[in-house]
Amino acid sequence: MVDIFGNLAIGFAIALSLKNLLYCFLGALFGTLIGVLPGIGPLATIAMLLPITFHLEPTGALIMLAGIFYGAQYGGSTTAILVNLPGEATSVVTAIDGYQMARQGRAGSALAIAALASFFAGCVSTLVIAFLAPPLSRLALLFGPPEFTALMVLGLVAAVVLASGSLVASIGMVMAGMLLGLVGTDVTTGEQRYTFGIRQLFDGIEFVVVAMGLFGVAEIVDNLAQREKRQLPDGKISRLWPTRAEAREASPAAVRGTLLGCILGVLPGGGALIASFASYSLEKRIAKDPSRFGQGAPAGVAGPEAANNAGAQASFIPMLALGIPPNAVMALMIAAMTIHGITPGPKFLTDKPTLFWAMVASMWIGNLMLVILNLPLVGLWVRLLRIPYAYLFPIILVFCCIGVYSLNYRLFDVFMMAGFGAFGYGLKRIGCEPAPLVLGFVLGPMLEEQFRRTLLLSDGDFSVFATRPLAASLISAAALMIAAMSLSGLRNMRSKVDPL
Amino acid sequence: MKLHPTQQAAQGLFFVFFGSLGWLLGRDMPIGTAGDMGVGFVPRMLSYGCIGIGALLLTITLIRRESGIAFGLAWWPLLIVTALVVAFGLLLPHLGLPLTIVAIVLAAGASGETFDWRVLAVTAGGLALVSTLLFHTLLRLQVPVWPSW
Repeated sequence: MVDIFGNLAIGFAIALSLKNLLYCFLGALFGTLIGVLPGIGPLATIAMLLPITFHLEPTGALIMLAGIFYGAQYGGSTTAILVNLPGEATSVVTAIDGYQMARQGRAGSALAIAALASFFAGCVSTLVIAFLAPPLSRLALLFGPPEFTALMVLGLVAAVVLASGSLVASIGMVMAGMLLGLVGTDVTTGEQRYTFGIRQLFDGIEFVVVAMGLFGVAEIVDNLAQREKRQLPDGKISRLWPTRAEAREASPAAVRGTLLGCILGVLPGGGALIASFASYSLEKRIAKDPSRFGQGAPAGVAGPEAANNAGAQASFIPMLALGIPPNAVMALMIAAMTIHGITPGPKFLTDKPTLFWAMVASMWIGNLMLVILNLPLVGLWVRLLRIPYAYLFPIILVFCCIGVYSLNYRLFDVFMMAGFGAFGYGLKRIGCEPAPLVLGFVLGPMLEEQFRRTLLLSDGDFSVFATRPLAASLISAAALMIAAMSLSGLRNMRSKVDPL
Repeated sequence: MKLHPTQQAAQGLFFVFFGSLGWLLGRDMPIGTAGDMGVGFVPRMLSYGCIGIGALLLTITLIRRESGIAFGLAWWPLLIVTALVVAFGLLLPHLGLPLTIVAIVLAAGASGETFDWRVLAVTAGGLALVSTLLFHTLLRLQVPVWPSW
């Protein structure tokens, strides 16, 4: 207990230095600026902004990345409320009632409710990280190859179960992603796989290139193709503060959403996504007048927005403590940290405790900054959303190109991004979500390494997964999830809230 | 989101194709045994998995036999965006960053969106200036700035 608060104090001491505050501020500002742009989710935002962290020392870079992460999350909600264009699946729910509020001239209070609910959720989930991550990483130090294998299987199963769209296709996407992830030099033997003698492929396909192609470039193509669907924010934003009645309705919803988000977010897979859907259906169920939902109910913005933010932040726990990304955005965060020479995982907390606590502290500061930053800047975001797409998309495209090029200063990566952009657009057209593919891409090589090591140690005996208690329980959890899925309880609940 | 049967058929074909490609290109990699896996073991399993998923999707489509909206691609946006990214990669080493950006942004006028040439020209110039200052001068990324042939 005392230990944690002492550590937090050290973290705050580092994060509150003038330089780090500036990095946090710039991260949150740029994150929101890019995240607000239509059709750009948090993943593409972080990937595009990676180069601005390159020349910083690790602590500053991590703090800035955390700021970018929150800014991107918040920017997505702003777009969802103002133009009904959710940049990612988690903002879909916010758009339902948020956009209705905006159409009724209550955009200001919808944005304020979203910001304050997110802030509250951020405060709580920062504490959850501080309390949960250290014991979890101590536990993970006891993990052997079978446990890590089982944990990653559980993560992939959860990602498939919680993904939107067809279950069978999601399983296929995970496997296709893993196959793509295996391109390059095999870590165990040093042999080449699927490289065809192309030197640039020896280190594998760069993750940021895949992410940027699938989530940035493909999204631009899709936006250009759906010209008639785009909307411009209408009306002026007059009041920037919720009325007392709205606040009274929104506050308890935000508390409930935060709880849901913290619990579901720690789960591997799309924790934040399921949390925001679950929060919306919960609010609708316990509301006095459920018919107001979909017509601009403040609780329909506050609950899911809090759940989304808490869930997104709680997903840092498995990423930092275990080194295993629970979703595609966290996979990108791992890639970004690796660029700065930091490997998240059980040893991260014991080897670099100050860095970890500074990051946790800066998460809270980042959340606070977003509230201070965004409410006065709402007018600017509205103006940004009024820019016609004809001028906007070349700018986004150029930033994508520069971002990918500056990773390794290789033109090859730019061409690869073009390829993955076309690939991603094709996947979108056949109704396949790219998120499971991206997660499979990152986890594939890790999973293979641990799997091979497990069976090497057991001499090809698969029963290790059943005899080691921790591995066995993780595997059973995965099996249970599949069973629950086939019994379709989860699926029905999801399709009920799914507005599409 | 509801899947259209034709979309599902396309999914099935995609996974069968992808898995077959993985199998074909990786057929020379040693498989080994479970206790001592070769580099080809996991790729082979994944290839079979993809083919299996694709076959399953195709079977479901055939059994249901529903008619649906045909899946289609918006060819022009796909072509122009891909071409712009490739052009960026081709032009950058020769023209340098600012001129490449001007060329890309002006070429983006072919997207089919409605726009004003003057505004697009200002966008091109402004973006070239801002990006060069930000990425080259401020962040010191090693991006070529001046044209060289």
